[in-house]
Amino acid sequence: MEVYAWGANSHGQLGLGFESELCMTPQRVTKCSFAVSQVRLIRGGGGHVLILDTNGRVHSCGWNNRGQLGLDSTEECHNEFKMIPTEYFGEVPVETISCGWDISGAITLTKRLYVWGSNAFQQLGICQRGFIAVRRPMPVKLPREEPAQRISFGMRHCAVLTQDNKIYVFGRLRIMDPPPIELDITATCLHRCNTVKIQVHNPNELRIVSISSGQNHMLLKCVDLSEAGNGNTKRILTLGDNKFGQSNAFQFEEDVRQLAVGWTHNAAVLRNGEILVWGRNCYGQLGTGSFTEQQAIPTPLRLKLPEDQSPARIHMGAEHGLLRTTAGEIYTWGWNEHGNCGNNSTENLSTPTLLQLPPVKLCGAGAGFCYAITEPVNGL
Amino acid sequence: MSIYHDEVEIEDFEYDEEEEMYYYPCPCGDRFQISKEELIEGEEVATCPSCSLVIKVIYDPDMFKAEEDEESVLNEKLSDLKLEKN
Repeated sequence: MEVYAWGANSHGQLGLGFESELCMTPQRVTKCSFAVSQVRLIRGGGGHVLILDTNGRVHSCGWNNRGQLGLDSTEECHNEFKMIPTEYFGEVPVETISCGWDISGAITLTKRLYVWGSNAFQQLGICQRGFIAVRRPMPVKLPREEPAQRISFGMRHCAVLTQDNKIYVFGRLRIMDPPPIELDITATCLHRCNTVKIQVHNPNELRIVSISSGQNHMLLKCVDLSEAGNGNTKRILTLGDNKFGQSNAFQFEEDVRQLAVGWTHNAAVLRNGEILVWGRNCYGQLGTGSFTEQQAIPTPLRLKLPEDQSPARIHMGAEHGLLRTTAGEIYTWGWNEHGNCGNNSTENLSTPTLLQLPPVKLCGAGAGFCYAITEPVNGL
Repeated sequence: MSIYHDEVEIEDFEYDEEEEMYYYPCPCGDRFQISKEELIEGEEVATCPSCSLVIKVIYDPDMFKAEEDEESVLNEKLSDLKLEKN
């Protein structure tokens, strides 16, 4: 098994042991602190990357100007992977991780939330002057010690979904008027920090089950609990900036299986394998076969794959996309100035383009880069 | 095609007081930047050192001019004081 990475490497985020402007083809990552066969999740931020292994340990690499690597280091960058000491998480294994622009977060098996990195916009939920960087994981207490379920970071906000399906938003997320009528949004204070609390107006009819953040917007996946809805997940709700139609909300024909959100564009993978995309498309980041300069695609279009391929998982970079099929093939599209698409070119791609790699079992993307873990070939 | 990746208000930039530089995230993972000096001169394009994307900075040039004037008045007063001392 191998780890491959490609794209922007300005802060050493590809884990290659050096910094460089771009890597146009997949490079074998050798500076690992983890066992390749044990990687469970890969998440990328602006210039850093977090890897979660099956033992619940977190490894990080890349830009560290705000301490987003969580290594308690004041180095500007680390171009080799290092493990975040387990004692920082109270020796409890980590269940899930998330990255924002210059911020990171984790939820432990005991559902405790930890965040680290930039607090310049109070997105770590600390209201104290001079606290713009937190260099090691810091526990965040939610009201009434509510357990955390999911975490999602935008450019300057941190959103936490609790186990009783409420969302707390720290930092800066402009919520456009009027907000969705299905939601109750209240400004509140948590540890003297301005916080926005979001909950559904009628919890008997709707439940928020997942959140995904873009640069300045957020998508909420919901379960329809009404009699007519019968537990379907066709609905999504949205909040935030809508300059490119990225905050347009829809009810789809089928259940939503996965949401993937770039800076200003989105993809919804439906249960039948259909992929729908909408939002900004100036660099071909929707992958629908065209570049739409300055004009956005406000209503979902279908993303086409070769006939025999179906999507397993989509990951969005800031302005590019990465898709793994159920057969382990990898497709990329969108902005390509830093070799983000890995096809040995810097021309933007308007359609999903196959990358020549051994079968891939896991992927992840950051703002301008991609990671992939390949299956062993011929028993190697 | 517009040459700007985005248009961003100066209030949305992060300001580094030591470097006198304004920063805003670039999708490549680096940062768009423009110095206070450039803004005083009326420059409105912030560039990224790692890529070709540029953004337009929305700001009120008079605000920066006024600040500069204040500074020069202060500096004059300071030098006057020093002269007096001498």
